[in-house]
Amino acid sequence: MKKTLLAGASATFALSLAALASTGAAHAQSIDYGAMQQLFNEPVTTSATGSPQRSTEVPVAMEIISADDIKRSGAVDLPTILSRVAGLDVLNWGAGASDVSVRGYDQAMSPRLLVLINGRQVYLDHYGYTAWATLPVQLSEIRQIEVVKGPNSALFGFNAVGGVINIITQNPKFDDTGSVSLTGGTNGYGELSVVKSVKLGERFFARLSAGAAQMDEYKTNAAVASNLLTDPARVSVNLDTIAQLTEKTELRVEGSWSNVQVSEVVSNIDYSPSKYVTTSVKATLASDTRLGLLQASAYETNLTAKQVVVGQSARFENKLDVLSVQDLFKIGANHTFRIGGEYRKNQVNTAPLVGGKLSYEVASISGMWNWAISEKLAVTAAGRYDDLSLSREGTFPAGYPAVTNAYWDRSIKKASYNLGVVYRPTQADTFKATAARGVQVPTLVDLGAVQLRVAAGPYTIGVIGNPTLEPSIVTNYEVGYERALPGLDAKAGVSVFTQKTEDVKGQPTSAQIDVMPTAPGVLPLLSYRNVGDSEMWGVELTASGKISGGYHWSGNWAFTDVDDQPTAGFSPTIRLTNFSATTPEVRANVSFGWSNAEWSADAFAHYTGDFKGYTSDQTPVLADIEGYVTLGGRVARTFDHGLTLAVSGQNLTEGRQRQTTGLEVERRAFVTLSKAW
Amino acid sequence: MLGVVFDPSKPASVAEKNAVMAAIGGGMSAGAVTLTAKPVEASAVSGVSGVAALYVTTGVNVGAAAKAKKLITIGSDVSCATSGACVMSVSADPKVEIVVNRAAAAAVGAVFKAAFRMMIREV
Repeated sequence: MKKTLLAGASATFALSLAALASTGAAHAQSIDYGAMQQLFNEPVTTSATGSPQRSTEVPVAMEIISADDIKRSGAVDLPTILSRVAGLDVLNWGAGASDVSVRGYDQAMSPRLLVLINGRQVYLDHYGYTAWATLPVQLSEIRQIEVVKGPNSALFGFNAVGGVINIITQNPKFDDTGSVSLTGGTNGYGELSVVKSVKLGERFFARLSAGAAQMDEYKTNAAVASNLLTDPARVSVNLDTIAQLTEKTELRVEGSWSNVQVSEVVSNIDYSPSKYVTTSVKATLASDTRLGLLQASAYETNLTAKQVVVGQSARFENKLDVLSVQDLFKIGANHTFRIGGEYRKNQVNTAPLVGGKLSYEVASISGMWNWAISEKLAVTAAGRYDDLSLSREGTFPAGYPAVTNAYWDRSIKKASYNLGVVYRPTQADTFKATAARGVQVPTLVDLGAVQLRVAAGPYTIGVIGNPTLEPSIVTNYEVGYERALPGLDAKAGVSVFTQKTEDVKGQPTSAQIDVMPTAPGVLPLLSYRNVGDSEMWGVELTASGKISGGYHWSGNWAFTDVDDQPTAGFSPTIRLTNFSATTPEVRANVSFGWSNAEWSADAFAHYTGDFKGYTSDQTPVLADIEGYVTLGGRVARTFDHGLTLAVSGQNLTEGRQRQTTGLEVERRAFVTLSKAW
Repeated sequence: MLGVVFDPSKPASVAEKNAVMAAIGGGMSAGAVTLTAKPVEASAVSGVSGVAALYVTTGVNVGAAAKAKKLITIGSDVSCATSGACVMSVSADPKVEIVVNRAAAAAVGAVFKAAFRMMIREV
């Protein structure tokens, strides 16, 4: 009877979709994530191939964090939520700054994880990393967080090498939402967040969100000078609108602004009391046509970043413009295709020594073919080709070698791919095999945006970018198996993967001069260099389920083994690329929760194994970080009229815990009062 | 309005009809749509009115009559769709599986949204 009832209910939902399509009603070109999840009883995503797919059928390693997971996490920031995903590493440098990576290779200003909001890049290109506090999104407006593990450059382009995180917000056309929440906590924590969607007539929809938060920075210690710290604070506003232009065509316009200050660690392992202002506007025109789902989008992001680099104030103005078009269509019953093109322009000034301007343009073409060979077997092939043209204009600082801007006239042409096979011999068993090649392009700073003079003992040394840097190429092979256990209302999975990174980029260091002076008065120079390769393999285990009575549980464990292969003449430690030492071999999570109509309670335990971190001396030295366990949790009571009162906490095991070579992470507790309507 | 097609001479069909009617109850919301349902005997499909689609219980075939009425038919048995007796089949145990018969869909003039087509199996 259960089967029949479920089938009946599903048929109803399918019917509603079918009816909408058959009558040619509006909204046909959009993906209603909520309705699709309701229909298929699992999340859907476009972050694997660009085509909408069920999460269990994507040809990549992916986990999706739901809105309910976020709400029940008790977390006040995204890195805490991400730390509970299998295989993700998080370095918590301060109360408002963290670096996140997938399956190792985490580092200050982690460059290997591409982060987007609704497909719009929020990864900062100047240094090549994600400053999580700058993301203009409220946790309560997120529909789901899609975490792709391994390269996905064939869809997203450069820097999607370690993984991709695409944050999908609620859609103002489909999701009628409104909430306000007020949070107070220890360490001076205070936060206000508001989200409200509105519908104006039958053809215009909008969602406005805004939030502000402030907190005390963790207490300083001997490793960090107090003048390099600031109390974190952030303010952000986001507007998301959709205009239904015709029955099958819509225009989505998103705009955001954020203003942030945070104590963070820059790539040379120095703390910086940084300030950011970001603005972004994106327009997307989408239409369901006889030629397929056509989409054209354009966006611009502007970043002002004020950072302290080697004790000197640097102000970067980074502007990114992106134009893209794609067509997604199905031929026959079994073949889905996507073809796309993209143009982007990226520009930034030099700093702390001003006078130069660096820019590059990238033209790209991409394609994807998904072939459902049978009801049990599907293969996907995706590829992308990027052509980057670099240039520089402006002057050079005094004491620099006699180079000209023509030295920066250089192109980088690289191909990337994603191949995947998904085999489902039964409805309970899924096997996946994937191969992928991603490209991590040198950042604007690597290529020359940073230029400075620094004292090293009695000498003065210059720092300059290196326009001849090669991109890092990441190749990943993976096999995975997932088994649904309907008798236990659970599922379990295992993945084995191996990855190689070629042409790893090393940092400049005063312990190794890269360009010797060629004439009197010319400074010796430090620069970025390709310093060798690195290999990694690993295993990941995941399991989750529900128990009658409102209980749910999950657990994951990931092992990685990194083997660096430096080029002769380069020390991985001195060049800050000793990933075999700085990547923990093991990280694991366990969670357990319960809820009924009024109450919910959740507990989370996280373990990171032993690893090493760099000290922030001029000559980097490795220091031991002992493995640690953190506990988090949330208890909430829901009242009438949409009111919820929640008590939550993070890092509960110790008052102060050493998780990096920097500030010690402190225990934090929060009380949140929220109202939804 | 969803017509739930059943054969009164087949107890399994009647039981499935009763289960679906109970599941939908006074109305079920699916996105922006609220659906209601009414039972329809298989022999009465050619004269049915006021329904947007037909849910066909297992073991019942009203393909020809539904095509004549240009109605979408949905069954819970995959073979209903693969054989062309239904436009679509939906099964949900242990995993939701949706199969659409393209020829049957074309025969009744049903056009599915592109994104939906990419997440289901077509035959």
